[in-house]
Amino acid sequence: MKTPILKAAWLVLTPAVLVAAVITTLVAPWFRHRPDLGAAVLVVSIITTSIWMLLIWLALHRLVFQLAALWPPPSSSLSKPEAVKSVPRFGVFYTTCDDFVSESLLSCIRQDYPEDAFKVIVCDDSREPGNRASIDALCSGQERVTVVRRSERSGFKAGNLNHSFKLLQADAFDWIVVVDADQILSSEFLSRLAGDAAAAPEHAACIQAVPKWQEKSMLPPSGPFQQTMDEDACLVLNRDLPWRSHAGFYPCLGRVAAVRASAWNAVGGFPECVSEDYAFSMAARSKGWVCIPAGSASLCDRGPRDFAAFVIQLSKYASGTSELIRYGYFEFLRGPAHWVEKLDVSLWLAGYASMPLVLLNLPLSAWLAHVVWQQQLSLLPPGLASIFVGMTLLSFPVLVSVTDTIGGAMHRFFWTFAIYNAALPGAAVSFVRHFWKRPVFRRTPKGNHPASSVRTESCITVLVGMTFTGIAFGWHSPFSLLIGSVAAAQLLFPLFQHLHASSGTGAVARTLVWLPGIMFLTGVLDIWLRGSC
Amino acid sequence: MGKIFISYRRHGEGDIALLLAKALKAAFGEWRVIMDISHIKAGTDFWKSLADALNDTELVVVVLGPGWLNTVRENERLGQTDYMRSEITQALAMTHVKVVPVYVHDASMLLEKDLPDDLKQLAKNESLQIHEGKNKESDLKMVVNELGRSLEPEEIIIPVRLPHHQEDPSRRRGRSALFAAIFAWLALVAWREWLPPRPIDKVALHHLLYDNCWVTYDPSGKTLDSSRLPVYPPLSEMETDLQRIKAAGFSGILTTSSHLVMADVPRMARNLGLNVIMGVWDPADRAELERAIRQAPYVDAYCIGDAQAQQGLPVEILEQAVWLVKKRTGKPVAVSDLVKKYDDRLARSGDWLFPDAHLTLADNPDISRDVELLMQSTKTMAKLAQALDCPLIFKNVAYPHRGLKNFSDELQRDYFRQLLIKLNDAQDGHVTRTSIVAQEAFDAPWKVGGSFLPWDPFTGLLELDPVNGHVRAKPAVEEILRWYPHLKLRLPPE
Repeated sequence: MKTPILKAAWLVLTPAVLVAAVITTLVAPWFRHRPDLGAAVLVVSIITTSIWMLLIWLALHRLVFQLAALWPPPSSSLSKPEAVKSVPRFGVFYTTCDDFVSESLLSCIRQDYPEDAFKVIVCDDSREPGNRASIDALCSGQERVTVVRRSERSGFKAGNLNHSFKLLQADAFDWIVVVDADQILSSEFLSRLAGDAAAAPEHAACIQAVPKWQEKSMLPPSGPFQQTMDEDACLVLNRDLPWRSHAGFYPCLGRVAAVRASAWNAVGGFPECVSEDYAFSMAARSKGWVCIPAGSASLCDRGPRDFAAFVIQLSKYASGTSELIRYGYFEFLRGPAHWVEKLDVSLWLAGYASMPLVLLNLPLSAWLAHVVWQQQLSLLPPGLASIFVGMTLLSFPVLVSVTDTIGGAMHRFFWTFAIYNAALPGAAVSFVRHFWKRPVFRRTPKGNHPASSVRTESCITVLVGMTFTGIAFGWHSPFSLLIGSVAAAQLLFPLFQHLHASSGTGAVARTLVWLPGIMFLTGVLDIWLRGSC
Repeated sequence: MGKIFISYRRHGEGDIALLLAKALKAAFGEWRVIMDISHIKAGTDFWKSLADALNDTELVVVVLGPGWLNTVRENERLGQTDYMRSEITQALAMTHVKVVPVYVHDASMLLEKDLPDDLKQLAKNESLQIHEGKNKESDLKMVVNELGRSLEPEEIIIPVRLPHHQEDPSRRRGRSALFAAIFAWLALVAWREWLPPRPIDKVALHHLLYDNCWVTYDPSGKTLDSSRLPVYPPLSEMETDLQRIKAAGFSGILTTSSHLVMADVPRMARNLGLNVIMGVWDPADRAELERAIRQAPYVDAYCIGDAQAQQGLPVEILEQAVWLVKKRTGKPVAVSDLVKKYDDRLARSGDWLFPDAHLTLADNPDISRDVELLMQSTKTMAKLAQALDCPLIFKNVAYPHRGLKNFSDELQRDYFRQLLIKLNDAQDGHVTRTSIVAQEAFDAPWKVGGSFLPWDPFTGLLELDPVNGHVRAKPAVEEILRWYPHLKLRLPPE
């Protein structure tokens, strides 16, 4: 299998070069001219500056790919699909684990595609009798549907998929389409995917459908929380990923991916871990395969239905990344992938790995800012402050492009700032904990299924929020508003659990969700205007 | 997906070939059917065009009329090129192409033995027929259906969709927003970093400089450490000093640096109702500049540099410091250096002229001589101030009350009296409005040795009574205050 040509490595290198330029032209001279404030200040300065530089690198890395995606990549990995000479045989693997959504399964069955060329396999890991009964009721009498169950649930979703694949001797299919329990396919999905499959290069192991938010109308109506989070998937797949098939590592992120059956066999199926999709991409790449975006097959994806579901999902991603770093990352680094892909993967994973660092860095920065401010000195060089302002401003065009309006972009910015920061402590703890302990799969609640409790996360987050509030007041400086904005989001954690609700509490939550973002923007401006000179 | 090539002779079978082509286009799409002649442009190589066309072809339909074989033989006899025969032989030679003879106009089927070697295969291939008469139309449909079956058996047409990478409006919106964001960012950075500082209010500056009675306040020398470096007193002591300066009738202070606790002096002075010109000792020291800028809310104007600190310092550093302080604070800024070094470039750097008028006095006191000495040394400054239309204030105007033989408090008083009369004399003075910052509030006993003159420690205008701890104003203070009728001495005179 040949390695794809990475024509635009500059996208991966640009942020690194920018950070190096910032360090040499702004940070190093700044350090040289600082008065001596003692060894403790020096040590903390070096630690916080290093963490900030890493965070800037990660943020710039993401921003560069997102901004590049405002222009279409030079050519798609796929040629324009027109027609295929033979009908690819699809096995649609609908995976569920007590989160069955009938609309989703029906959308898999009701495909405008030759009947003898696709089968739907319900990979059912459900334990609740009600769920099983619903699935059986819907599948009875459906000739094209097979329900597969197993006695034990090892290996999470990957174990479920691998079990079905083995059981069905899946070489009866050319491609396996993996569908999550709540994903809804359009009736043309398979016929479009057939065109994409025909045009895919031979070494494409996986074709990933791309969400199109213009087709949101086919989704069932949802609350304000889910509507905001619906755009998250669009943001990642339509803005973070498009250029990665040319200038980085294009991962499979579990958004209705079609996996070539021969690649499945060659790779040995999905690695049995929490982030099985990303792990599969890395394992496939290590064997010379690649993942590519679909040229025309699209889907409407659904974000987490409420804040609790989002917290569980983010914690799951964090623990999955932790597990991935331990078990798959270093093998990938030793593999045949291009160094640009390796760097891209490293920075992608570092996004989650940086969560505990952010939590550690906030109090350290607050203390340092306080000491420096007491000495009547600036917190940071003006050039660096201008870069922070610029990065904040430049994130808005990306949001405008996925939400269509400036108002929508503002809404998304303020909401996601608050809820991501509220979920940060739980995710950070999850990441750190699973460096030592293998993660236990937590199902993200979907549809009308009851959510697992996030009481532990709530307690931890409120405690962290209270600590940060104390720090913001005790170690006063222009940085206080920044740490205060994070603290405010964390203190609002219990209230955010009502963000989706139509009650009065929900309305209060939806009003207060703007507060942390407002504090953050005010803080950035304050540091820029007062804290740097 | 392969194409369908129709091979026929225009004379004889042209009509039926066109009918067949129309039916095939309706069934399989116009783009799939090739009619040889119409697709080969004039001037192009027939053989190459034919080869190219056959490469894309899946099915060649050979339309055979009753006289077709005779024409083949006739062309062979005359040695003429038979294009249709060439098409057929080439198609037969290509393994991926199916060749289907279609007999029209009631032509008889060809026999293998009648055909030349290169065409014998034609007789072996399965053929179709379109009869003349009432069955012609149904035959045509049948031929189209049969030909359809000859094509790839499992072919389906997939709806053509635009690839998601193609231009969509959301990308366009994002790009517009990106350009707007970049513009906004550059505008903000330009406003904060690149645009020149906003112009200062000249009238307010005149009032500030001329209507206040200024004195230098430098508490650094009250105590010295073992290395004879100045140690700043505690803040409470400095606050008491400032109260005494205020009580003496002065309405403004000039500080000498923004180092360490000196950064707190403007806030304390402002709280007491004093105006403040904040000094920056070393313009090359970024930390000192930052501390000075932080005090902007309590500061009325800044004085950047001191003759001693900036020896050998490039003037560009001084200009950058002025620019930075003005840009960040919006307050008036002047630079200071010795009169003899105060050139046009330095004068233009600030909002007013602030030359250091520190004199070297002779051993024996002579008030008239000493006043004239200052007037002479500052003459060029006045001309510069007039030319630039800037206020002119002399900094560090000092006269000792001790330190040299025969110097006294009275001599100090007389010096200030005569100097201020002279400076404010429209005929005899500098002809431009001029004021001074008297040096200094308190004696500086640490100014001993090195470049210091013997009388440098003894220029204080306020004196602490060692017995009762009260502060007394020296007589010179009253003389200075005389020029500020709205101010009044409130301390007991010495």
